[in-house]
Amino acid sequence: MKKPKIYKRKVIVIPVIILLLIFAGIQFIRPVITNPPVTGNLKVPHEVQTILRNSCYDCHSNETNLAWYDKIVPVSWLVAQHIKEGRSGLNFSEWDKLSAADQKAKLWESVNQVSQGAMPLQSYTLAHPQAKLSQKDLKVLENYIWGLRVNNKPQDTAKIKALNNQTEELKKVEKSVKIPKTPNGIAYIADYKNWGVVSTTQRLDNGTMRIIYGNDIAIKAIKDKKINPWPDGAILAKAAYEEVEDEDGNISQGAFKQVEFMAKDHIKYKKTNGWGFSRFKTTELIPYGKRADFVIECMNCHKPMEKNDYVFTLPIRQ
Amino acid sequence: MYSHFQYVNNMKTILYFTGIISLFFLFSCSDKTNENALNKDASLPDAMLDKVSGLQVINSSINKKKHTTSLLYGNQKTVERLKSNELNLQKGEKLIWITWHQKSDPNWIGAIIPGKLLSLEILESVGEKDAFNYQKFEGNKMELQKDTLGNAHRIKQLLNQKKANVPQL
Repeated sequence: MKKPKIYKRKVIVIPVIILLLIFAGIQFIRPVITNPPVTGNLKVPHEVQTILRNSCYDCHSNETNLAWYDKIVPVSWLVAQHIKEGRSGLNFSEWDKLSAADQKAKLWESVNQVSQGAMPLQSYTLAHPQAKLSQKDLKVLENYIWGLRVNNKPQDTAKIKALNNQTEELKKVEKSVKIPKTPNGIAYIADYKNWGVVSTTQRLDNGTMRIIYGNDIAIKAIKDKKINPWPDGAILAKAAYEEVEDEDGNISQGAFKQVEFMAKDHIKYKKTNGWGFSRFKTTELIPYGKRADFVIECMNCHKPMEKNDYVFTLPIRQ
Repeated sequence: MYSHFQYVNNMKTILYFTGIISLFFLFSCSDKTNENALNKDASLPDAMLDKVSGLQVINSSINKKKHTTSLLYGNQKTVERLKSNELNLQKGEKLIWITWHQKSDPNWIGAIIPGKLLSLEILESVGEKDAFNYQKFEGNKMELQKDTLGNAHRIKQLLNQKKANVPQL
């Protein structure tokens, strides 16, 4: 009667020992997480800096502070991946590598991601609860970026001049025949100007106003209230303009700045959450992005809108 | 052979799976339209839908003091008139001007989007010569406004609007 008992114990003990050995073994395939030199740190008020350091810097700076449990394989593999991706999208330690306009846009986007609950990542705050932001912390960040918003100068001569110059240029220039294409292979769609309107927005963070257009499939989906998810074939176009304000607070469209497209195809654009992103700048329609992977930037920014099929715009039925 | 015990056990299994399957259906049949993704405040009532279809966007504008934002649409005739800087309504023209109160965008700090519907104005040339028809619908229910005071001023404003720049291509 004793034999089966020993046998049973062996059944449990041997695999446990094997697992422990494997666990110990893989500790030697530990990823290298280094802290490269800080080339130029973000310069913000101390209060703001403290919050960012506490909640963002582990993945978005070259001053990563690992907890002991972050260093244990397989957790450390995940941590290393997070840090790699985090730094490539936003790195407060290499802030000097961005232009002043990009710095502001990135910071604004980051605070918006926090306010939408998309950042810090839940998987990170679960293991590092001290990194969670309180409502007060969020308020501090929001107040700070609010102070960076653009206040229009009434009768801004520079903007009026830019608009007039552009209008004259458009009259002169011969219509180009070559359709521009972004590095991810998406061609500009000239017909967007004749599409229906999805919504408009005024953006105080960068002093622009936008018209969001939708192709027939998109407009039909809005009318049918079937936009979550958007149907394949739907295309949204967002055209951004400078604002020209008069003495009475009337704001009209200034110079055309850029047009961006999101084209839905859940198979073709599977890797980019079902959307093909493109952007064409100025009336010359210069394609945005140096390499095809510029879309990572688009996806990161649209991530908090996962619940709305990655679309920020709230469409108007009209 | 078929004991009471087995019967109860089978019933339990059936009930369990029925439960799981109905839960599955309950979730999969939940409303996928997700109306939260729409801007309901700013949307036109069903009876007023499609008024702008077939028209082109002329421009978008904002009044910072009144916190309103407008979209101006026009037909091909309007687009042609604006190209020639003509300020008088031409034969065959149709313009629609929609105005909203502004509200904060819940999805982006510092973005302002159309909120409650304020008015929808239609200016249309009728028949020959200078005859035209102007109508103003107001409020979220889009009731036709009978007070014509101020119409002339609005019409002048409407005809003074410029077309926003768009790329040539």
